Amino acid sequence: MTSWYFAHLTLVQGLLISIPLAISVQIALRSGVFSFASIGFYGIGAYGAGILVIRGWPVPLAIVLMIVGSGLVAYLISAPLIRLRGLYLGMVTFAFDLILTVVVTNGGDLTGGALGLLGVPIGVGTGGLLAAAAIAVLVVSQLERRAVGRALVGIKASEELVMSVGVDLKQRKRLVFAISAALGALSGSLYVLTFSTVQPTSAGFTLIITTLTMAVIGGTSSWVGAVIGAVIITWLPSLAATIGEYQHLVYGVVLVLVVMYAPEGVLGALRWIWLRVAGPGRRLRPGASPSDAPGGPPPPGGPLATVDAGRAKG
Amino acid sequence: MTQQLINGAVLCAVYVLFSLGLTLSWGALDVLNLAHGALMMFAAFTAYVVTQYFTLPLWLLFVIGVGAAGFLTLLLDVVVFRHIRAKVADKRQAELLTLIAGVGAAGIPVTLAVAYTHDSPFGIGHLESSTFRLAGGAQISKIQIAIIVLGLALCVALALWVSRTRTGRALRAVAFDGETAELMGVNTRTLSAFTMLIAGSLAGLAGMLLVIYLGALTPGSGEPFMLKGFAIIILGSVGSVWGTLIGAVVLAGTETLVISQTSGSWVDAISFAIILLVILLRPQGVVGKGLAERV
Repeated sequence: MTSWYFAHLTLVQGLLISIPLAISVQIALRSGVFSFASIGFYGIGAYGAGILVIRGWPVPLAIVLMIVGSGLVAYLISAPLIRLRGLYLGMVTFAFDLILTVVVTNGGDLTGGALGLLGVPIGVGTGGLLAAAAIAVLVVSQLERRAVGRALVGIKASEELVMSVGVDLKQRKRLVFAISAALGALSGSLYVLTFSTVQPTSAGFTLIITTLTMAVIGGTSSWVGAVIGAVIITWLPSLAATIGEYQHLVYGVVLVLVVMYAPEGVLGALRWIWLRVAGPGRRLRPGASPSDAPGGPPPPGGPLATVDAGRAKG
Repeated sequence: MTQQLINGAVLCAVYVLFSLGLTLSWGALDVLNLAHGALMMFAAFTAYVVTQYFTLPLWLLFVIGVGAAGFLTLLLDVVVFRHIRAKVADKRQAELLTLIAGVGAAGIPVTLAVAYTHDSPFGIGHLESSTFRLAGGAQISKIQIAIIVLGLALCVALALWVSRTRTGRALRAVAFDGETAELMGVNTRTLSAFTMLIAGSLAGLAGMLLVIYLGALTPGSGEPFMLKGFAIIILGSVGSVWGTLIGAVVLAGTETLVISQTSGSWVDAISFAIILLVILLRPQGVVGKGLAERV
C-alpha cells in the first residue's frame, strides 16, 4: 500500500487538484450556465498564488485570497454576462480562457513570460490537497442537497418554471458563476503550490478539453460524476501507456462519443444499472412512465430531454 | 501608410473568410462550432503533409486543403451535430452539447498536428511571388492581391447567396424557425450539411491563404483565430454577412494600427477587448440576430 502510494504520488496529487476544477465545470453545466470561465480562473489562481508565495506570502493566505478574490470578481463581472444567451456566454468565457494565455505571456517578469513561473516554493502536501478537495466536495454536495441545488436543477429543466415559483434566477446564476470561479482558483493555486511551476499554456485549450471531458464523462448531474470523471481521466494515461502524445486526441474522441451517446455520463449509466438490478419493482409500479425514473433507460435524448420535450418551446 | 493599408486589407480578407464560416453555422443552425479554428489550421496541415510526399501544383494543394476542412466539417455535422439535434429535444441542451462536442472535436486535429510536427511551425512553401511596386514605395505581392480579391468576392457571393437565391431564402427560413421551414418543404438536413460544408471550406481557404502569406502556421494557430472570429461576428451581429465584413474591417484596422505603433505582442488582446466592449455597451447588438431577428 505504502509503496503503491509513493509510486503513484503524482497521480494522486493530480487527481486531488483536478477534483475542484472538474466540479467547477460540472456545477456550471448542471445549472445550464454555459460557462468555461472557471478554467480561466484556474490560470488566475495558479499565477496569483505562485506570484504571492514567491514574494513571501504565507501559503494559506495566498490560497484563500485567490479563492475569495476570484469568487468576488466573478460575482461582480457576472452581472452583464448572465444576461447573455447560452451560446454567447459559452463564446465569451471560451474567449476569456484563451486571452489569459496572451496576458500571462506578456506579463514580463511578473509572470515569467513564455516560460512561465518557475521555482514556486512547494507549499501544499498531499494532506493539504486532500483537505482542500474534501472541503470543495463538502461545500458543493451540501449546496446540491439544499434549496440552492434544487433550484439549480430546476434552472436547467425550465427557467420559466423556476422563476414562477419565486426563485431569483439571476441571483442564483451569479452565485453559481462565483462558486465555479472560486473552485477553479482553488484548483489552480493548489497546482502551482504542488508542482512549483505554471506555464502560459497550462490553462489553455488543452485544459478546457481535459476538464470538460472529466465533467462530462462522469456525468454532470452531481458532483459524484465530476469526481468519477477526474479519477478516470487522471488514471487513463498511466493505464494505456501507448496513448502518450495522443492523450488529447483520445479525450476529444471520448468527449464527442459521450456527448452523443451518453450525455448523462458514467453516473447516468450507473443509475441505469442500479435501477435494473436493485429496483425492478419500482419500474413496474403501475401508472409510472419509464421516464419517471431518474436517469432511467435512455430513451432518445436521455431523461432530461424527455422532461424538456414536454415544455413549451420558448 | 499605403503599405499599412495593404497589410490591413490582407488581414481583413483572411478574417472575413474565417468568420463567415463561423457566423453562417451559428446564425442559421445555432451551431457554434468551436472546432472551426482547429479545422482552419488542419487545412494548412493537410496540405503540408501532402507536400512532404508529393510535389503538387499550388491549385491542387488548395483543393486538398480546402476540401479537407470542408469535408471534416461536413462529417462533424452529419455524424455528431445532427445526431445531437435529433436526439435532444430541448434547444438549449442541444446547443450546450454541440458546444462541448465542438471542443472535443477540435482536440483531434490539433493533437494530430502536434504529434506530426512536434508542435513546431509548418509551411507549404510557395513564398516566392512577384511583387508590384506602388506609389510611395509600397509593395503588393500577387498573393496579397489574390487574398484581397478572394475575400471580397466570396463575401459578395455569400451575401448574394443568402439574400437572392432559393437555397439562401430557405436558409433564412431555417434560421428564423427550423420546424416551420421544414413543414414548408425545406430539406433542413441537406441544407445544414451544405451550410456546414461551405463554412468548413471557408475556414480551410482562410487557413491555406494564411499559411502561404505568413509562410508558416503552428498547430495552435487556430486558437487566437477563434478569438478574432468571435470578436468579428459579435461586432457584426451573428449571421450577418455584411456585418461580418464590417467587423473584420474594424478588427483588422485596429490590429494593423497597433502593430505599426507598438511591438505588437498585445495584438491578440484587441479581439477580447472588442468582445467585452460590445457586451458591456451594446448588449442588444449581442442579442440581435443577423439572418433572422429572434428574441
